[in-house]
Parts: sequence; C-alpha cells; structure tokens
Amino acid sequence: MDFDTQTDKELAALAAASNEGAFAELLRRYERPIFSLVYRMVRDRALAEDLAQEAFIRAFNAVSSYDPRYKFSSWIFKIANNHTIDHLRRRKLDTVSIDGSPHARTAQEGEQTRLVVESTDENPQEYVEHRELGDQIEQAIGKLRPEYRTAVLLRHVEGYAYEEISQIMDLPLGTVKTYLHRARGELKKTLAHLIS
Amino acid sequence: MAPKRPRTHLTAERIQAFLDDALSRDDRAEVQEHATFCGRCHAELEAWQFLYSELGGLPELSPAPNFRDRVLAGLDTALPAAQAAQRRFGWLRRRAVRAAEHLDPERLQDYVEGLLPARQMARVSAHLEACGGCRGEEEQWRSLIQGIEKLPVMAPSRAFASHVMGQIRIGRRVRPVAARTTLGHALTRALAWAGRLIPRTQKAWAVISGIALTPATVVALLAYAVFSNPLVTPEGMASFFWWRISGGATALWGLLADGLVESGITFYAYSFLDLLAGAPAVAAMVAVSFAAATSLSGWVLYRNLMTTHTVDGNYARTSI
Repeated sequence: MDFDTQTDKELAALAAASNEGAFAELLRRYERPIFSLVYRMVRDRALAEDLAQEAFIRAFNAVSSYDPRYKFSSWIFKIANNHTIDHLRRRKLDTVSIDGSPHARTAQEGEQTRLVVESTDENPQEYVEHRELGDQIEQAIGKLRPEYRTAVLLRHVEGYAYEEISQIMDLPLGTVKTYLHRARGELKKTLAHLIS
Repeated sequence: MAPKRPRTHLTAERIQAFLDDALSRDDRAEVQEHATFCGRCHAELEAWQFLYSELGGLPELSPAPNFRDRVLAGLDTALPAAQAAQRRFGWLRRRAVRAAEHLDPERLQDYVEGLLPARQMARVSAHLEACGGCRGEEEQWRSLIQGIEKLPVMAPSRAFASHVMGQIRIGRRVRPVAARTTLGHALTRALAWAGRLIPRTQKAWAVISGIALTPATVVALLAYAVFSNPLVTPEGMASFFWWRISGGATALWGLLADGLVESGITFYAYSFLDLLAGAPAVAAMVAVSFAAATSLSGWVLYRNLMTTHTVDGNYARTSI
C-alpha cells in the first residue's frame, strides 16, 4: 500500500485498524514539527525527545479516539502541547535557556544540549548573521509565558491558522488573538535593538 | 415642464449635515437636486468638500502649556459660547483627531498578517502612506514576524522513530498486553506522583530531616533513660525480649493448630482424598483441570511480564 498519497485522516483510520505502515507514515510526517515545537518549549534535546516520544505514544495508542471531523495535525499538536505544558507546570519552568538544558550541571552539558541550527544554502557570513539573529529570537521566545510561546510557534513557525491554534490550545479565538498580540509585543520590545 | 427653482439657498449647517451624512434620504435628495440647479450653492458645496478633504490630513496639534488653565479660568462666562462652538465645529475636531491618531499595535499586526477586511486594509494602507511613524512601526512588525518565520524546523535523533514505534501497541486483540501497559502506566504515574514529594529546597530538606529525626531522638532518649538504671543491662533486656517473643509464638501456634483441627478442614480434606482414591476418573479430571489452569496462568504471566515488542530495522512487529 502506498501511504505517501494517503491523507492524514485516511492514515489515522488505517492506524486505528492496527496498520503498522500507517503509524510509521504519520510519524514520518509529524516527528519534525512536533519535535520542533516541544524542543522550543523546553530547550533540552534529551527532554524534548522524551516528551515528544511520550506524546506520540499517547496519541498513537489512542488513535481510535481521534475524531475525523477535526484535522489530525490539530489533534496531535494538541496532545503534544498539553503534555509539554503539563511538564513545564510540574517543573515550574516558565522560561527556558537558549544556552542549553536548564538541567545541565556543567558547561559541557550545557553546550551539548544547546540549540543547534543546521546550515542552509546561505553563504557563511549570511549563515552566521542569521544564526545570531535566530539565536536572539529563540532566546526572546524562550522568555515568553508557555502559552504565548505555543501560540507564536504554532502561528509563525508551523504556520497554523488562528482557528486551528484555537483548537490546539483549547482556547477561544479571541484569546488566541490576544495571546499573539501580546506575545509579539513582548518580542518586539525584547528585540527592539535588532528590528528598529 | 421646467424643474422647480429653489426659493432659498442652502445654509452652511445644511451643507455640513449633508457632508456628514446626517440627513434623511429625502433631505439628502433635496440638497443634491438644489445643488444641481443652483450655481451658488453648488460652489458652496464644493468649497466645503475641499475643506473636509484638507482637514482629514491635518496633524494633531498641542496647545500652549497654560491653555487649559486659561480655559478653566474663563469657563463660567465662556461656557455657553464654548458649547455652541463645540456643537458647530465638533465634527471638525473629531475628523482631525481621527486622521492624526497613530495606528494601534494590534491593528498593525493584523495588517501585516493580512487579517483585516479589504476596506480596513485599504484604510490602513492609506494611513501608512501618510504617516512615517506608523510606517516604521509596520516595518518593525514585518521584520519581527519574518525573523520568527525563518526559524528552522528541528529534527529529532535517528533513533526517535524506532523508539516510538517500539512502544506503541499495534493490534490490541491480546488483552493481557493491554493489562500490562495499564499496569505500567499506573506504576509510572505513581512514581511520578511520588517524585513530586521529594523536597527541592534546602529548607524543605531541613524540615523533613527534623521531622524524621524526632521519633529517633525520642527513642534514643528513652533508651538512655532505661539503660542508665544499673539494674538494667543489654543482656538482661535481650533475655527478657526472647522469653516474651518465644512464649508468644508458642501460644500463637497452639491457637492455630487447635483452630485447624476444630474447624473440620482436616476432615473435609481427608474425605476428598478418599473420594478421589475411590473414583480414578474424577481424580484424572481434577488433575487435568489443575494442569490446564496452571499452564494458562503461566502463559498469562509470560505474556505480561516476559515478552517485549521486538524492534528490528523497520519498527515493531505486529503482536496479534
């Protein structure tokens, strides 16, 4: 069976019927976006892998409860986001460090868990400049409240519509708009030296 | 028939009401008709229209610092005149202020994201063309959003997919597997809950240590008080406790043995064995049932405790 051409909903239905290939395809489609979101929420590679892994396992083991009236992406992002927010609340880690894991005990551990941005097609100078800019933006996002952070990442990194963000975060549309306005306001203030 | 010629010219108030869209439909039609045929009123209307368009682009001006005091000082006598002026020119001020106000950040963000209705988008565009401050703000919002959108997508480690696939249940027809996972999940939750009880600050550790040491301290003090008596020695205490414990154990055993004999269990067991000895077919059935039950329970234990999903190159095998 060619899974590449199947829609998310079709794959979810196949997965609910215990089709292993459907699970693998859904995982292939969502492992990067889900991991990116979780990683930017906790800024610790090992922890992000654990949380993303747990989120996928929860979602896949409950795939029969997925309601196809909603988008599969919203459903799985909702599970991953709730799981990560729960973790942050338990640990009371409202902000995260760009410089590595908050649990790092040595400078070496910190460096190992630091955000690594892979090079793109840019020339070395552009790459370094963008990396510095990206680092500062990442740092500013890391200082936002978890809810604001989720909203900004879903909107501007994952490119979700407001209505989908509202479904993922289980919040009214107006609240999502307010979160985004405030989050961007805080980011603009923090990054004023870069964008003015 | 020639159109009816108007008898009086349009007043300034009527023309302003017309431009403010404050007239009824009939009055509005009447003014339009009048202005079509009356050259003087037509010219007057055009002059007012020009004034309106010019006022729309006026910046907001600040009065002199003592302006407010001077107004308040002359308030009693000047009030009726001020009210009249307010009535007459209020619309002018409202228009000028509206045109001079900067766009609020939310509106600018929505504009940059293209979320406003077409008409509002056009209005904001027009304002941005005229207002350098808002244009700078708009560029900053655009730059911020583009910066965030350029953040890269992160990839997990290569083993991530196999870890996930190795732990999902594919094919849940085997009930005990579900039971095992539920048990594991409950255990994980219990451990997570217990983990929350571990103190995380020095103060909390000091309090916990103090509470934990209190009974130990009391026992130590009591032991000291007891053994400080010259008649009480450790050997004597050990002999005393041994005597009490062995006596208690003997009494308990006697109680249990008496209870067993008096309850009739021995009699029933003997009768059952006697029955089996007299009927070999029943004995064989009991033996087979016992063996089957033992095998079944052994298999259930094996499925729940011993087997794991085998992870090969292509994720987990189906366990049906």
